Amino acid sequence: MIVLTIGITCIALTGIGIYGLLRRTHMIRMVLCFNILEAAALLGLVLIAYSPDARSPILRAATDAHVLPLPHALALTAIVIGASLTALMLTLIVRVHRSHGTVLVDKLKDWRG
Amino acid sequence: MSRISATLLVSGIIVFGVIVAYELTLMPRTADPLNHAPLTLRDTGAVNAVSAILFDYRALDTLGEATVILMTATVVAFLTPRAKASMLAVRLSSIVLYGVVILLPFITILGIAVMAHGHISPGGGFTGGVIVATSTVFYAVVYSVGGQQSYVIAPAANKLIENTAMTAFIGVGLLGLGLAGSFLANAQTGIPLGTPGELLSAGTIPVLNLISGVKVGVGLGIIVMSLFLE
Repeated sequence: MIVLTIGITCIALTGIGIYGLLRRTHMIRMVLCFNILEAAALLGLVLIAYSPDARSPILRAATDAHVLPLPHALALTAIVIGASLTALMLTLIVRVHRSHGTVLVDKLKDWRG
Repeated sequence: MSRISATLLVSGIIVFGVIVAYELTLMPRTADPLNHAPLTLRDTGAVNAVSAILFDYRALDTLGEATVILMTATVVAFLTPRAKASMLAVRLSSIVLYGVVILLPFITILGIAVMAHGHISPGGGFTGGVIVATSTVFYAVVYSVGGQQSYVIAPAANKLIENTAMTAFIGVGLLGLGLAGSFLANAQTGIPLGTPGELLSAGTIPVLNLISGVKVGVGLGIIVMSLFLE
């Protein structure tokens, strides 16, 4: 049941993220959609690691069944990279706003480079 | 965008979701067929298996991850000009001003504790670093009023600390290269792993946790303050 719930949430977040990235013209909203996509990817990683009869990978007792820790490590990497990318995108949006006076993609039709 | 293309987009996303859902049902739902727990405890001595992967098995990837933060902090600080303006024009009430001063030591100690216990409990260098960055950014945001700027650590010292932590990470890796013949080696260097679950255990993992915690904390401070001072 929890697998189904998280799976549906993950797929719904992916859909919302892709739709927003393609349909929005405001750059900061595109960054938000990028972050929603990232959250969907993190949920997917946690879902891949999940197993109903296993504990979290804190190995208090070596005989217990633990979930695989590798997707969790990948999720941590994804969080760090996502935060860095968000900071870079926001910085570039600030630069675009300073030079062109707008953050709407529609208004940047003559934009080269 | 016309109504037709929007409909196409939505239906494409729904097809994508159905495919992903089908793939997820195909995945095995068995609990850890390799039974990694005894192997992890023997190889690294770390109770937190995620930390064991991040700072022992795949420590080289963590070095790359730390480089990403270093590069982001450098690029963001380079792209944002040194503006003197502050986001806040008004002085905050004394409740906020004194509340921050009271909270600051507790937030910092929590961050350092999360860093130091990274190998025996959930958390680690990256999480603890973010908590420490919260405290420094909190202070700078509340006390930088008008044209006046206040920091816990001066911006120039921030970059020095971050570069020092990066060098220390590579230094620990070179130590492993010299003692055991492989970069960032942990148990192979002969460092005692100790009893799993104790604070002083798991060889170089707590050291790397602290170093990456300092690096992430200072790096995030640079990133947020660069955006804040715009």
